[in-house]
Amino acid sequence: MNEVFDIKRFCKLVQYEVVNYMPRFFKSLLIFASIIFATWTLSLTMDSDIWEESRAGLIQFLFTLAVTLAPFIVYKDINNRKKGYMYAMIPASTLEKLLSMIVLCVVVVQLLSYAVLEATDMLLWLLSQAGVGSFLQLEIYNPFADSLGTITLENGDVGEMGLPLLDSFLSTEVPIFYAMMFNAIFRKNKVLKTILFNMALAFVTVVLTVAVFDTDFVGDVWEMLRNCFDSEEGFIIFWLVFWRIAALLFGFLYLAITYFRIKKVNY
Amino acid sequence: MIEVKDLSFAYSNAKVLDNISTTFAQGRIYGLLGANGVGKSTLFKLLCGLLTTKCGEINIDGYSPADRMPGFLSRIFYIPEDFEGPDLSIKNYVGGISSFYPKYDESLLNSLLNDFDIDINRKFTSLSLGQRKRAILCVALAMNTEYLLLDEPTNGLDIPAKAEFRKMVAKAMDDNRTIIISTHQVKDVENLLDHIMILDKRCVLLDKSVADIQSEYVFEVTMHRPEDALYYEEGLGGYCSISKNTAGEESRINIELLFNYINSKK
Repeated sequence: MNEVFDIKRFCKLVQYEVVNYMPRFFKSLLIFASIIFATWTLSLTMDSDIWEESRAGLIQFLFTLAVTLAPFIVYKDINNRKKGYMYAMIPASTLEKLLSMIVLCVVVVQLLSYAVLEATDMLLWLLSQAGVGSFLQLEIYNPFADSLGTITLENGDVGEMGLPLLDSFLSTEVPIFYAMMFNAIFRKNKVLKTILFNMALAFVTVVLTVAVFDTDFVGDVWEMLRNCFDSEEGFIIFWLVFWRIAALLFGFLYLAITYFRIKKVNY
Repeated sequence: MIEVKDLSFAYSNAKVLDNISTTFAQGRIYGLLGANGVGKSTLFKLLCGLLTTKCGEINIDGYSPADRMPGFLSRIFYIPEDFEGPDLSIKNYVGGISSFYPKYDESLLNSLLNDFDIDINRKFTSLSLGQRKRAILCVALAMNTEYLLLDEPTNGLDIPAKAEFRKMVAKAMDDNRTIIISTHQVKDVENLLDHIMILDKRCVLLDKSVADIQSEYVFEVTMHRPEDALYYEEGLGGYCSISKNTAGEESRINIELLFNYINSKK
């Protein structure tokens, strides 16, 4: 028996976790879907138009919220002192548990969220057919959208720097890994603690930046970097590559911390 | 076989186990006794890998529990005292988990659930504490793991269920299996045990097989106060006593009395 990774055992684990853990997420999704329903009902009763942009915006917001909260909902008990032992005692390796967590949070959760939220919106549109110009297009969440390569030069050439799949991964999946990490670290009030931690981190970063470096210093570094390149394009390409590598490294760091937390957590 | 060597463990505010060494052999049912807070549940968690310590060593068939390897986890099943259970039916839970246990026996599960009169389609969360315990016990026995760790298994069980529990455990026992039962309800498991281990704060007070205890001590109930007893307690039916077994007599162990005697010596 391979003690680190066995594909059969991994598939069994994914199946087990989908059956055991996904129903609770599905219940949360229904709450999100009911928000769409409530928004429609409110708009229709007030005789106001339901614009495609606002529908898309709402679904995008709820989708992002659902996907980011998913690790806290799906794996909420994994480090609970009382209930968490059942997760720890599943005969699968830590690597398999981490990969299964990624499959559920990244693939299953996103597909399910997209399907439920879109289906709710479509159903309401079909039922009402009021105040809407056309059927909502399926581009609300476009995984090929260029999210990070938005820095453009005057002539617009840098738009070609966009690496759609990678950028989509960095903008959607890395935050999920971040949530997975904090879900594994905190035992109680996980979402609240994560928000507070982020606020504290932002505050400390700002204070440190102001205290240690004066604003001229940051500007000087920026200028120095720019001067290293012959053209502005070269500098922007460097900046985009640097940013993407940093984001990727952070993604791996979050996963590594989650792995060791799962492996070492005491109950 | 489980080998524990120089094991120590401390929570942030208190030391619980201190330099404990013992072995748990296959084909035996161990009774782990001790007052509240001596570390019985902690020892169980260490044996399962749910707690880790840098002081000491645990070896279970070549595995260190703290590594939580799949090969190890598929050999052990642990039922905690306060088992809550997942929000799933017994059938769905077993359907998912059983594939990880190579020796799982579905017919045994059905027969055990039938004996305990539990519907496999019921959700754990819809069962009472006693029913939940019975259900998970059936699941645990059906998984046929080499090691079965039961923390206060008879708490919450009614009288018929306790009798059924004893029958089930005795039936499920074989030469390749080790069952460790931690309990305060010693009367519930008295006839099941092959070996008794009494833990005190930080150390092991007694670690002997039932046969060794029987050859060493005589347990008696007498109407008059025993003169040469090592320890005695006055009860409604007379005096329960423990004496040295000098004549090679065979007597039935009174675990409660033994426990009190051992504790009185420390």
